[in-house]
Amino acid sequence: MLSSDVYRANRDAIMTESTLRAHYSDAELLAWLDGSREYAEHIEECEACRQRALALRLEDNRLHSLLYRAECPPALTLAEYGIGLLSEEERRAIRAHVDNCPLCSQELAWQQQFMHSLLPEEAPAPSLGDQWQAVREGVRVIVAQWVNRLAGGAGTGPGMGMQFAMGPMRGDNQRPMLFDAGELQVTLEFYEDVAHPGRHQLVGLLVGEEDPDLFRVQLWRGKDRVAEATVDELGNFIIDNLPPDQYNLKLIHPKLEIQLNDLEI
Amino acid sequence: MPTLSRQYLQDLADHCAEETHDFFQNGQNACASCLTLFKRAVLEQDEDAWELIYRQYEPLVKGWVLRHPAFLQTGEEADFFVNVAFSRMWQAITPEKCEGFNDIKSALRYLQACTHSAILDSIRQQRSEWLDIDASDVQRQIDAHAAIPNIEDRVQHRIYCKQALIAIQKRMKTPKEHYVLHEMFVLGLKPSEIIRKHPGVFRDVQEIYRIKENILARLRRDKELQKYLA
Repeated sequence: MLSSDVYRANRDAIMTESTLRAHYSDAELLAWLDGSREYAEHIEECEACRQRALALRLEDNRLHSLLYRAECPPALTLAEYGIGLLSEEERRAIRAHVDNCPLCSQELAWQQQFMHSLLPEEAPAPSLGDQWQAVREGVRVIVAQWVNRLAGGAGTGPGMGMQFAMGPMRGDNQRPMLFDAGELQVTLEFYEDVAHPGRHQLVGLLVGEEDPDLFRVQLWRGKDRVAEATVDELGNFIIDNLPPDQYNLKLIHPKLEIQLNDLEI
Repeated sequence: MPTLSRQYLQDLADHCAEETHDFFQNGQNACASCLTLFKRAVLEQDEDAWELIYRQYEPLVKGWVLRHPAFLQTGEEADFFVNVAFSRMWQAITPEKCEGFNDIKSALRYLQACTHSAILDSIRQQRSEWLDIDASDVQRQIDAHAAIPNIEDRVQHRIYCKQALIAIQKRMKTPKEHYVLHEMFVLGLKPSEIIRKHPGVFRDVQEIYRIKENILARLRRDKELQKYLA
């Protein structure tokens, strides 16, 4: 029997027009199914409402299992994206999805955490020092755009009317922050630094670069450079022991500099 | 397999073991024997070569599984994911991708991506089932573990779900209904989470439940959609 038939059979058997008003609406039953105690006293006593709730749950479940993550790329495709294996066209499509999908963003962050340090790290990139100064003039500078901070508003559907937030970007470890820098993407996450109570750890991933370990990372607070890190061969970087403040991050390559500005921890 | 070929493969595997050791100890990334073994397994579909790769890297993959940040959430045995990771690599790797393996790091990196995706699929499945709790789930979980679905089945299922989503989206009448359909059913958010994500769009959670009620009622009446919802 279809779930809709179950629903109708239960409803028709139990509810006549005159009794309808004595019972709760489907919306209230749905709230009860989600754990609301507001309607519990009646529903737990009322066989009619319980039967209807059961049928609703069946419908609800079917829809969930059918639609849950129906728009997301397969896990392996997302993982291939994370290691830069996809074609430019595929990469663009996945990036557009990830920018709007907190679940895929989370999975990419797991991947970054997972793939970090499981393979032996190569020797760190040579210090930039004087050599860096010498090529500094030829460097292309890109200010990365934070693309997955969404601002919803009434009258817009999902995927429509998304706006970029203004003001400082706050890392709140709720989900990764994704930045677009032309061909490259950067993901940042902030965690509590367990080794330094009250301080934070910044975990980053650079995607889209064949040799990410040519990049170095610098973290700036105002005019002070407060931390440096290398990027490993998988594009990962970590900076520990950060007090809450506002920072600018630079990913520096001999021919390219990516700036991520106004990061607020 | 002729004895000579088996001996050749075994020699390759022995060299590969040494190269892998060097790679992890000293970062030596030029692993000709390992790459030959990988390419033979994938390009020539040589099951014996594949078995040697499995034997060589099974402990490594198991270590990856145990250290994966989401592994504990799965409630699965590590060996389950080791098997899925290898079979996934076996199924998914194409000659083009394999030709791109220039060193052992790139081959292992792909194996790592397969391991990661095996765990993610389990988490995805679990969350979808967590949203879909009824008595038949116990049997469904047993069925799910009885056989690892192959790529074709997964692709078919994805196409089916996408078609269903498109058909259902067409039945939505207002932007708020689109929001509720997407956030609640596609992303699995609760009404309180939807309110937090879209401040100012909905008055309260009751409004979201009313919209959900309308959506369910409309889909229930729609004969065309019953093939998806049955």
